[in-house]
Amino acid sequence: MLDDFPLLRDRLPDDGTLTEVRLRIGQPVEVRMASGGRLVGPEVTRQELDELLLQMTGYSIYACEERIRQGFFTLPEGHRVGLTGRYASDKGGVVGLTGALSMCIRVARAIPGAADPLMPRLIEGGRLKSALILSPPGLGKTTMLRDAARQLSLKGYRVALADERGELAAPAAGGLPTMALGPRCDVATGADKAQLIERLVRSMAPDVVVTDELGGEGDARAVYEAACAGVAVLASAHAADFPSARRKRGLAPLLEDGPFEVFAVLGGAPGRIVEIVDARGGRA
Amino acid sequence: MMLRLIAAAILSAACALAGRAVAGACVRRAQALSQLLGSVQRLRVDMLDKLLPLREALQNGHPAMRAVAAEMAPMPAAMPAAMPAGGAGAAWRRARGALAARGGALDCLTAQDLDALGALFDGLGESGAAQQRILLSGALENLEALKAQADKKAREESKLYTTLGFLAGLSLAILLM
Repeated sequence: MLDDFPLLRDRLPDDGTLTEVRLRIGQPVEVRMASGGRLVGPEVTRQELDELLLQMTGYSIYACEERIRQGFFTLPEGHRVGLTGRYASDKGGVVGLTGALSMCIRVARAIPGAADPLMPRLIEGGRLKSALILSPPGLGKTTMLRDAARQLSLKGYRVALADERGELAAPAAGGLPTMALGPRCDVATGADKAQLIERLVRSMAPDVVVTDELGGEGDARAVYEAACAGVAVLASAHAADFPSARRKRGLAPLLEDGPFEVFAVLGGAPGRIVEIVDARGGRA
Repeated sequence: MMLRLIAAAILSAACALAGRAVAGACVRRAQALSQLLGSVQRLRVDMLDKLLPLREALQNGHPAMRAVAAEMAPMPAAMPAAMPAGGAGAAWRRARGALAARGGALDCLTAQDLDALGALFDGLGESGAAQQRILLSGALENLEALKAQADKKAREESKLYTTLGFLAGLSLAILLM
């Protein structure tokens, strides 16, 4: 629970509506709920933010270093902690975050039924279709993917979760998922998602691989290979709409000539599907 | 006469053993430092190669490390309100008294040994892998130096107290005879 952390204790609403918490040095805590946001004082100090970061990593910065360098890590409950501040760079690349100035905690929540509008599009005559969920950040892609994985698992499909940062399954300290994923879900976490997809296809013979936030060329290659092996892929990616996704270098090949048969675009409000597009870009 | 000679021999041997036992504390210190060295080496592998969270890595080690792990706040998901904040350094300061007290896992160590451990726990886990590597290497060097010192002292004191014990036993035996 986020309010177990001393800095956040007594500052968060306890009615289950919390969606996001933002902390900035010298500013009050910004708390966002589905109904809106508010600032909760007093101002956060540098020492408080540093201590919170240590507590969130279990006093194990070394173990989260690579994820911190990339900008975010995941808490055991699946909440994503984004960080920014003063970076150190060398030879054109970021080598580390030397001082965190702001933190954004996005609250993970299992919403049973979040994938209900998508499910009829995923299964056609018992055959699973590959699908890609597109939306800007914060509109419920991960929640929808997680629920789709759970529902597919309950329907009898073998589901493999390539969960690079543990946001889908929210693994606890021992690695076991804390989110409900149904009885037929295998989870791989802790490594690059392309490598996880490759291993899951090879080792677990899944019916469908589920993964979050495709973007790199390695991800695209892994998705192709899974599809070539006869495994459906259910994934998500950041994009405002289908044309924007087509302009993204890492996604374009997957959209032009990829395995995806269904594209669901979220917008307006979290979890709302505004458009479902087929592989040719036409409305399905 | 024969019985007296046998009694004198037994008395001398018993006093020599008693002298050796007096030097036992030094031997136990050397053994404890040796075990701690092994645990710090394992800690380095668990932390920097396996990337285990600090608390989990400490739980795989020497009883003193397990005591520090127990004093640390659990993983954030389960951090109770009553749990004081602070990392391994604060946990070590809370655990040190009980560990160093008579019957504790570190009761044979000197203040210098305990300070060396304190220097390790202060900052443990609170920086990136490169800095942790330096911290752990420094701690290993310190503990190795202390162990070498303890080994030397154990050898010297064992020899000294055994000889003193034997001589005391022999004197008693001569007096008895």
